[in-house]
Amino acid sequence: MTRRVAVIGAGNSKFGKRKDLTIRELAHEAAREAFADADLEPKEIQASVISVAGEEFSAQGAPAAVVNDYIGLAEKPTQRVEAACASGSTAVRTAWAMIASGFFDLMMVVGVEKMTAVSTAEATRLMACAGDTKWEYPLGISFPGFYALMATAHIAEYGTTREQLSMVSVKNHYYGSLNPKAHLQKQVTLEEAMKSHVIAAPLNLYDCSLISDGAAAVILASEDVARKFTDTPIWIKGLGWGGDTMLMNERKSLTSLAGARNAAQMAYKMAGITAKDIDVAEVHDCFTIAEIIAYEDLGFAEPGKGGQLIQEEQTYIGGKIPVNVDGGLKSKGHPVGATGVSQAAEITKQLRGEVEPKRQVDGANIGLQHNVGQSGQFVNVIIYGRD
Amino acid sequence: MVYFGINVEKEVQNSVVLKFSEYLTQNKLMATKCKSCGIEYLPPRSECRCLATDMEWVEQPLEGTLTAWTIIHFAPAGMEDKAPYVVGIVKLSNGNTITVHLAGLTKPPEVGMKVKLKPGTFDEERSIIKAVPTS
Repeated sequence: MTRRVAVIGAGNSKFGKRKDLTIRELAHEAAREAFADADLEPKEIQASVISVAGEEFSAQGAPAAVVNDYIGLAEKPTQRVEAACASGSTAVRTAWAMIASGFFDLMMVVGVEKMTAVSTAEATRLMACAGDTKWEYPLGISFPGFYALMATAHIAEYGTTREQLSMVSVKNHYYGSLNPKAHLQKQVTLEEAMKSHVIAAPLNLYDCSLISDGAAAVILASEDVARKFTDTPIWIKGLGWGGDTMLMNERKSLTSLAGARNAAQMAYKMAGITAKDIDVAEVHDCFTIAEIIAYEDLGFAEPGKGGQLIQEEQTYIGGKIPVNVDGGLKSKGHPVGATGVSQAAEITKQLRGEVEPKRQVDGANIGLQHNVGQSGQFVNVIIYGRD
Repeated sequence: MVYFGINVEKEVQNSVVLKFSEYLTQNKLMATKCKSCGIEYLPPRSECRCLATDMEWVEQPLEGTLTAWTIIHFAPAGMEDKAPYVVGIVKLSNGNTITVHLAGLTKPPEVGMKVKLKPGTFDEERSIIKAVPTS
């Protein structure tokens, strides 16, 4: 029998090019905000889980030890988790499991990545190394390239359009412009988004998430401990976990992520809800096509109807299901190891009604995060609720 | 002999890669087939997901259909001088699939386009496999 686990504190560093900061300072910025939010001190935390996707970016081996010490948890047990771009949500799930099992009562989760210290070409190469180094990397398939392959398949199978891809970008830039923590805080027009220079056709610059520095932190607690610290614990109600083949050519479908579909079903079942019950969602929009596929994999739209969902503006606030109203990876930024923790922090604040008023989903009771690693080899879907 | 591309770690150029690469220079596209469960792997594997280790090489048809494509304009470090280049996934006439470079295009690639695979030697050091439109 597992115990209920709640998020009782959340913090997020400013995302962006944080020139003179390394992973330890970035992590500190997010962690101290989470400590203040939960109104507790580091000495009360029993253990931590630290998410860092690639030490090649920051040139710090065994990064959990550095981060754990720097945020005031020296001598507390810690570990790093890695699941590519899904590292952050994997850290949340790891800490959830330790608390649900009764092993600990109060844990810190930090996700951090420093990506802008290397050139964009080198960052592109490091990300491409997450493809199969034996069979895919030698072909020079960039990370946008993998999602571009899915985009051309989706366009061919369902008639998804160039405009619909760019509409995702326009939405996420709009909400990013309202989020002071976002890497980019500027709106783009549909015309600008459609005419930007090509990265991996059919995806252009405005279809791609940002290479960012940043950190996020959440504090998790068992039910009895949570109630001591807060009147508004945000409960983890369901978790799902999925995987896929390493090689993209071996997939049965290129227009959907099997791991995401499986993870969503698992999470909905555990929470006892369906897609219709979600009030606000954070999805992994590493590329615009990824957000459209996420709509379908999560059941917000029928297969092939994701493009129509954004075209009808149903994923804006006021629509059927507001998605990425913090700017998403596209505009808030994508410091890889931080992303999944940042999604958890955002949903926590949304359900408490504490984000900037213009991007607050009023009365949101149930939120969902969808965090994808590589091109679908790691997927976590986690559902949160106010009660 | 190295299978296409850029500097990869020596460890990835092991016997299965080298054998596959050698077949390419003989204009053959070869998969491995598990003698126990019958599954074919393309690209090849030395061991099977069913945990069997007895595999045989089987020749693949060179005709297929494009199921996805991209044109890489912004390449990873080490591939910049080759960009833009076209990558696609091809479904062969026997149902197996492979990711390849597309060449000889006179119009933009299209999903559903019929292609022929051309295994061969790129230069003295590298073997490659390319797909070209059939019509």
